[in-house]
Amino acid sequence: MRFQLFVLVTCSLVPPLVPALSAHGRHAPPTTAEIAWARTTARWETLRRDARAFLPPRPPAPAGVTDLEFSEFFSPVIGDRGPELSAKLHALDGQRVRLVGFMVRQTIPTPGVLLLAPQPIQVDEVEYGACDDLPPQVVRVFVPLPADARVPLTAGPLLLTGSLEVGQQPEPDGRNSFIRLRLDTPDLTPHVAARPVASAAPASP
Amino acid sequence: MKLNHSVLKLAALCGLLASPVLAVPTISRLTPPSALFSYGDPKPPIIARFLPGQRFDLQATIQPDPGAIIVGVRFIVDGVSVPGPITLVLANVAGLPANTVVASQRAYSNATPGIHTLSVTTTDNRGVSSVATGNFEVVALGNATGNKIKNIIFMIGDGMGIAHRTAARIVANGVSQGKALSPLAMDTFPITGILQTSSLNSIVTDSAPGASCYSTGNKQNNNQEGVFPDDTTDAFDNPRMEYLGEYLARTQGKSLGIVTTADVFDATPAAWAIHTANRGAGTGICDQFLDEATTKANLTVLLGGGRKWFLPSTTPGSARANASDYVLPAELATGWGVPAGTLDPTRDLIGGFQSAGFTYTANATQLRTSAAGATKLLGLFALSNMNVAYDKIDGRRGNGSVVNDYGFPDQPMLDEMTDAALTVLNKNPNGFVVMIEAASIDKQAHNMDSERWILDTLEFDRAVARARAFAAVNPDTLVIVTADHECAGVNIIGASTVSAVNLATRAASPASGVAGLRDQVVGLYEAAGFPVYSILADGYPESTNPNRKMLIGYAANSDRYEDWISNAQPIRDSQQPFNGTAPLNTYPSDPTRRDVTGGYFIAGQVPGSSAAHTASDIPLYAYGRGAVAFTGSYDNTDVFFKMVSGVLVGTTTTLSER
Repeated sequence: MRFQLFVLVTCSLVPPLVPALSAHGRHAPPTTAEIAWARTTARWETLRRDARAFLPPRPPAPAGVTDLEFSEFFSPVIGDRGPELSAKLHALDGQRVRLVGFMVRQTIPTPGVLLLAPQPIQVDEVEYGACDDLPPQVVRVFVPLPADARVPLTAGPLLLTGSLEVGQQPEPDGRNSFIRLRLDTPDLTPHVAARPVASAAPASP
Repeated sequence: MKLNHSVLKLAALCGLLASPVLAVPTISRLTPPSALFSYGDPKPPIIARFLPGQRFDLQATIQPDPGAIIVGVRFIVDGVSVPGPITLVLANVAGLPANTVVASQRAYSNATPGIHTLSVTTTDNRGVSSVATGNFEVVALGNATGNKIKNIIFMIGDGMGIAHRTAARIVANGVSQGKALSPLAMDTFPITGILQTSSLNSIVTDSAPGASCYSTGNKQNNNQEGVFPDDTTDAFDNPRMEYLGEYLARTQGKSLGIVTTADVFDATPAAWAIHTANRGAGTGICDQFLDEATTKANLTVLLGGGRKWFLPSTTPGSARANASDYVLPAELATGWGVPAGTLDPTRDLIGGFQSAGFTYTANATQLRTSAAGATKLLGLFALSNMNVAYDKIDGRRGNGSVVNDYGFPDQPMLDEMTDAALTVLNKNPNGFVVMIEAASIDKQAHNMDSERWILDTLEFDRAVARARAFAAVNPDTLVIVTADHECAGVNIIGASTVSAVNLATRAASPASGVAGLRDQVVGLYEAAGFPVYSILADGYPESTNPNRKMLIGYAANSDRYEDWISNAQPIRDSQQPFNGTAPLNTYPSDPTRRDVTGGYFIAGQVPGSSAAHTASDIPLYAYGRGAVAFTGSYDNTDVFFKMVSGVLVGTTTTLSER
């Protein structure tokens, strides 16, 4: 019997993301209503499991920014212990990079931080703590927001650019981070295909 | 069984039954479970059975009258109070009244064969008492006079029913003019039994009680292993029963080995050494392999996948977390004489095993050279479940796309793991018990990936051959080959009536649908003929897509598309840490996301995205010393008592054992 993991949210097919989470103090626990809301769509991953397969191509990277893929984070062959961060990742430590990923939906988000995953994922820290459903490639993204402000929960693929930090580091929420990204601005850029522009000309008679 | 509830409520002392206020405490659970307690039925079958001296916990859940508090509990066996401490904790599962308590008395044992009456008496702070009564049996082990069994090799083809075996034989050896051209290794075993597999709470078992029935002699709830159910939410405080490995290590000095192609935390391997009500608690399960099993069960060999639980959480790929770890209540730890454990996500469990004297091996190459010199062996060959035989063999033949995608191109086959385990375990002059599991017969049957479970059955049979060879030169060894349950309602429905090229053309055409991939392809009865697979020197088919190939149907199927052609990639394994990243996230997510092009959709009979276990009886094959005891049709828990009778008392030798 397979062990069920409650991961994989979805992108464009999700219901409206309301209510928006209000800002809380760093140590303020989520309200009962917030927890209930965060769990309501725990199985919505069944709507769409292949979100990454539908990503559009990236626009050209700005000068000085290197495009990075989640699949490039670790050496492909795993040695005698665990996965090892790739040479490419180490080489980009401190450099500006660009990533496409999905914001992890958390019941206890850390103010000013989002977790970026290669696929839509939902975790429930209230029930499971800092449990193990996040893949090793999750990037801890620091968003420049006012103190104690939570990052607005944003569905769909995001195109994020910032400064890369590499190396194991314990975090205040009890997790360990290995890859971090510090954004320049709080804007979370959706990575979606541009809609065709409707013609302004009237239809021919 | 009658359904008149038998909780025996006695208003103690002075006619309190007449009072509408002073109701007596209700005893809602008495452990070990019994039909006498639940239904007032004293007749066999007796639900809970134990070996003479096998340890188990006594427990009762007591609901006091509102406002009252339970102040006294006694367990009484055959009219005699059981000495020793009793601990009361508050029950905390939903639905029980406040102040409900769970009373536990740990590590009880009884050496006298027969059916015993177990009563619990409880008194509240007003002096009002209740009594409830159940029973359990201590099994008489007989008086066989033949030689005793020294070693037990217990082989589990997870999910392997009759048809899995038949399909493997057809692929490996072929059938011509109605006769199999040669047998599987398991076909050569002289004794066959048929087992009934229901668990304590369902006609359809899962792999946890499906395996721990063999290692404890008792039924357990689905998802639970080595414990009886209780009324607390703590997954590691449930009433325990002593495992076969623990019992034989304590009484005989034998060693325990656990070998699996799954993640070692998985239900079947854990069900030989770990006591938990949550088969998913991977950190705690793997910690207990070291904390308890190495000392209490003399765990000497642990081989499989699951490295993610052994890496400190400060390492990428680690799955260690407090939420899946364990800390035992002090009274349980004291009662059983085991460490209480700690929440320690940063623990280096590989290092812990090495400090305990284990040689660590991480791939097939290391395994081949490490067993001879090792006295204890830990092998972790993948982050979670190992790759299946279909993909490992592809890798060995030079097409390593799947094993490379997983990051582990050099994983051992199960026969190689079996040889290594037996080499190490055979160094104990007192003997050993080893469980060897082919886990992905089940996992790939869930996925309805026919060729992958067929090749895993072949891989399993090659391991069976190695065990048989060991027993041939170590005649004090018993080899059991069985399953824990059937998976997916597998059966062989016939064969394709078209060539491989023709079938591939149909699979690539959206116009095929039911007519093109079912009506014009599925050959029944004589139209099926005798499919032929060419076997290479490595023992596996050259191709699993020959002309007129064998076709498999599923009775416990979920929705799927089918084109009958082997799948280049397995279904995504949700337990793999890299499951969500390329390249693994390009694998099909479920059986409705593969074989789609041909347009042949098969509606499932079960909900969800994978096929389900069934309640079918399963076969058992026995070889070696004591094998004759295993003929017939019987309950899966009987296997435990037959094995231990052969170890402790002796075997029957009225029939050739080999």
